[in-house]
Amino acid sequence: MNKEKINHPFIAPDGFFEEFKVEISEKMSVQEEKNHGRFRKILLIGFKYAAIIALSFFLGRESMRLFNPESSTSVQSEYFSVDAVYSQVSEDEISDYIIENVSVNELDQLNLKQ
Amino acid sequence: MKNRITEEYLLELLRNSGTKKEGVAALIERYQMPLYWHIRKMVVNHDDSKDVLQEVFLRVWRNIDQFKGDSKLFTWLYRIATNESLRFLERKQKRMVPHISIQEMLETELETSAYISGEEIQVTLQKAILKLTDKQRLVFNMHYFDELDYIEIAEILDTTANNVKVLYHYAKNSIEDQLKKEI
Repeated sequence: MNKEKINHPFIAPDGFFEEFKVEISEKMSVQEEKNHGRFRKILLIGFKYAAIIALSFFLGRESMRLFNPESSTSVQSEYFSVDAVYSQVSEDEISDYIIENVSVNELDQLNLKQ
Repeated sequence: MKNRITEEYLLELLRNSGTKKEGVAALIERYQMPLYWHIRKMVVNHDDSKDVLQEVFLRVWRNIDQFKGDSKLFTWLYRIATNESLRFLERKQKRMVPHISIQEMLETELETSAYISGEEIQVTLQKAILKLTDKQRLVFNMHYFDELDYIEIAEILDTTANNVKVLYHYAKNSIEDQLKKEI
């Protein structure tokens, strides 16, 4: 075997290596684009979930503030009482009420401010 | 780009995202031929060799950041090409009819497929090589055809130089026996 070296019988098609270089470079570019697209998709999904979590947190906190019977009874009653007054009494009646219960001096001061 | 760039410079190009494309082009230019012939001697068929070579470069391109530089770049590339070739043969074996062995299949391809030169002695030698185990074939091909030394082959196959020596010795004897029978 050392006397005369026998080569292998394999041959490559003409221009194969030149074509291969171009082909593999294209494949790499396509795959890189795919990877970028996948990364953007994952990022978008992440943002979506973050927005949903933030919104849920905000809504949860607001509803707790409004409807928590222990901490917000005063706020709640204020909302309801003001609503009740405004829904049952006309604006003229409210003005009359203010005028009747305010002294002349106080009215003057109000007018001066305006 | 330098005409004959060093491995270190090539690695520098590959590791920098700004020059990665240039590095990959240089890598393909430099190693496509030796890797193709290495794969071709294992999988025999040209189209299969092309597919495996593509997979090798894509794998290198995806994993270049994981290359620590403990071995030569050339050794790392040869190792990937070797593993991909063996994986390809394993997959091919699974797809085949049960009573035909991969050796028989490769022998048929050697006789029938395109891009094989007509020299009979060369084909006879290849047929004898196909009778060897995968490891013996790898060692024989790398030492006899690619002229790699035992230490380089040992690094590629992740074994000892002594083990490579033994494998080559067995392979050579077996081939000589086969050739004596054939000729």
